[in-house]
Amino acid sequence: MTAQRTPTASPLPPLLALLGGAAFAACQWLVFCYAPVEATLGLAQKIFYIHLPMSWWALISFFVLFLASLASLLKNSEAADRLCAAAAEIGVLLGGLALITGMIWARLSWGVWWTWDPRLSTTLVMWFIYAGYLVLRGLDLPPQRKRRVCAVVGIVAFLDVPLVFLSARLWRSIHPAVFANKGGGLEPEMRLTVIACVLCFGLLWAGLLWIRTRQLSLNARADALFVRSSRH
Amino acid sequence: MLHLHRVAKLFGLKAVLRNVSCTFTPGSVTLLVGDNGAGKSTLLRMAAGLSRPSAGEITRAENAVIGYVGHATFLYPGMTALENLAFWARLYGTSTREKDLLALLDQVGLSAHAHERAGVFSRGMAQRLNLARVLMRPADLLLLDEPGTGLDASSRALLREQMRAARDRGACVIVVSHDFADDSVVADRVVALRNGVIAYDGPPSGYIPGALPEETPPEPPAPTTATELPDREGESVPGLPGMALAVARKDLLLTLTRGSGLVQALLLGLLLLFVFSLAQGVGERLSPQNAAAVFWLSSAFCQVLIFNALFALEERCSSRVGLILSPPPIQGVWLGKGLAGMILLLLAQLIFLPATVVFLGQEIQGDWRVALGALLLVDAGMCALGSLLGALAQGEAARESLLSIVLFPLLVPLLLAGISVSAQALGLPAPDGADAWLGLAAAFDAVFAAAGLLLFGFMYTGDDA
Repeated sequence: MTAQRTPTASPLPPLLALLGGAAFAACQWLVFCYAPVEATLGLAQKIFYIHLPMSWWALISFFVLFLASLASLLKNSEAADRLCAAAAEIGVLLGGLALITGMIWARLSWGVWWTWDPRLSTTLVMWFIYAGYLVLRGLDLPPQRKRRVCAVVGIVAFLDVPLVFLSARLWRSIHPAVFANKGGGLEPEMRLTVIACVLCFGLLWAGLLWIRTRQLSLNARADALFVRSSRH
Repeated sequence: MLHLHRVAKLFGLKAVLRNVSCTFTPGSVTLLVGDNGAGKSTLLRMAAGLSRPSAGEITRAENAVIGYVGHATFLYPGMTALENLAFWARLYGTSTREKDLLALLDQVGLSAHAHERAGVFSRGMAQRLNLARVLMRPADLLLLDEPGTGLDASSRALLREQMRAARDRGACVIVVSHDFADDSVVADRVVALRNGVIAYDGPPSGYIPGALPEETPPEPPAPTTATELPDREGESVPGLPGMALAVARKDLLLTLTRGSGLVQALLLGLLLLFVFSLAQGVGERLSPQNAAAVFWLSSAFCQVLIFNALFALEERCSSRVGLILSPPPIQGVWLGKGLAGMILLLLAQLIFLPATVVFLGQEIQGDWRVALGALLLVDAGMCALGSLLGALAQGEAARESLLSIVLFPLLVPLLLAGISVSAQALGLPAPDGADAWLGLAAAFDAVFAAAGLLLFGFMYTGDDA
């Protein structure tokens, strides 16, 4: 029997999210006062400091979803399933924001809103895949069946990501490789700023993931209490 | 034969069964009785291995052949009685000779209806045919979930006769029944459930319906020795390829001759090609790359409809449980449906290709052999994934759109490979990376063939099977 642990009212998740949010806000000082203004794009280049962390943490969300799907399938774990749901929601949100900021960048940098660039295209295809996954999660299937089906789709989706990236790369590539060649042309101040932004966004991401997972646990518990009270 | 030790089953936090322990012995007929919602069907499904207990243990005699008759009859309405029996005989590895199948039909009084489609059968006739399916491979553990529902007196008498016969040859028979007065005639024992616990376990003579004691009877001791099963040396259970071929054959028969699934898919694909042709101005024509993209888009839509239709075949007659309980590995269903889907998709593409030439003003002039290789690789990948995910929304009203939403983005690498390589057959110079595209398609096929083999069991079986 799967033990249903009562989620404790730990202050850590909101504290972590608040810390992440505060740290990311502090990063804005680095972005606007410390990092130099880029010569060609000017101030518009600053969008890069929010675009990159969101892309990376979206990808990490999908990786967490993949690992949690494996655990959900092999261990038949409800907790892992809730982590899947939280990671998918956060991944789709961050992926969507990364796409929008990427499109703004593309318009300013390349003169078009959209182009067949491997990273942009991979992010868009991933966004579609995981948005479909969220639709699947929203279906009114029997809980155990839904857990299994979602876990299978979570695994299959992640297996597809490298193939999508390779196909998009074969099609065409014009995206700047940020850290490919000793910093990808970034000034040391810019590099330090982007690393700080990625790390601080990570705190926010961890806090959000923790809070959402706990919300889902509480939701499951509330449903269980409702079932129990309606029987008596 | 079957032992349940402190078994519990939860749906969410709702306990359907609690602390149930009992042993079912060979050569006995046990009636499982109780009010609606008492947990009888759940217990039977766990006994069949269709659902896992939330707590406790269920032990069955090793290699016991399980016969399961539920509300659904597992019959394909588009196939005749004989064709239905022949399909299940292929899965069970028993004789598919018409003479043997007719003898089975004779046993259940249906020999005169052998060549009639099961879809026109009454409930009683369908249940008799279902019984013939179970008789085809005598079960060691025969599980009957309200088998007499909707049957006339003669069909119920036939059912009881078969229960007796099964008991006499040493089978363990468990029957969920709401008809205690009739079924107790053949029963050796009654197990009554109330609110998920055993409220009575004893001879039929001691059981008075509606007057159950409140206390739980004492727990029976666990069996100390394994039960010997009859020798089944004559049987040859088919493996993965055997099941795949049987499923593919049945699906093709139903889709090509008795169904409209392929016709819908073809019409949708042709309609798409036609609509894109409207985008061309007078005297203009789409570039080969765009034409190839439209061809693959039509193929992808067609593929979604094909797999929806193939999985709906099982859904219509709830035969999924029958496929899960058949002896070959369940991955045979994935392979069989993938095979049938690929043949149907190739047939559709045989029509889409000339339609692309006609509607989109294309000419086939490049190296068709490379394009054919790409076509086969891309189709194989599409069908490997389609067959894996085709089962994801069984029973869902929105399954057509759901499969498209989940499947299309996953197919992007394959579609790009297909477009890149096949565009050259329509007149573009051969792309520089044709080999890379073919390699990518082959990698896709390998990844999702492995995923299909490893994951299909999780997708297709489960607690609601």
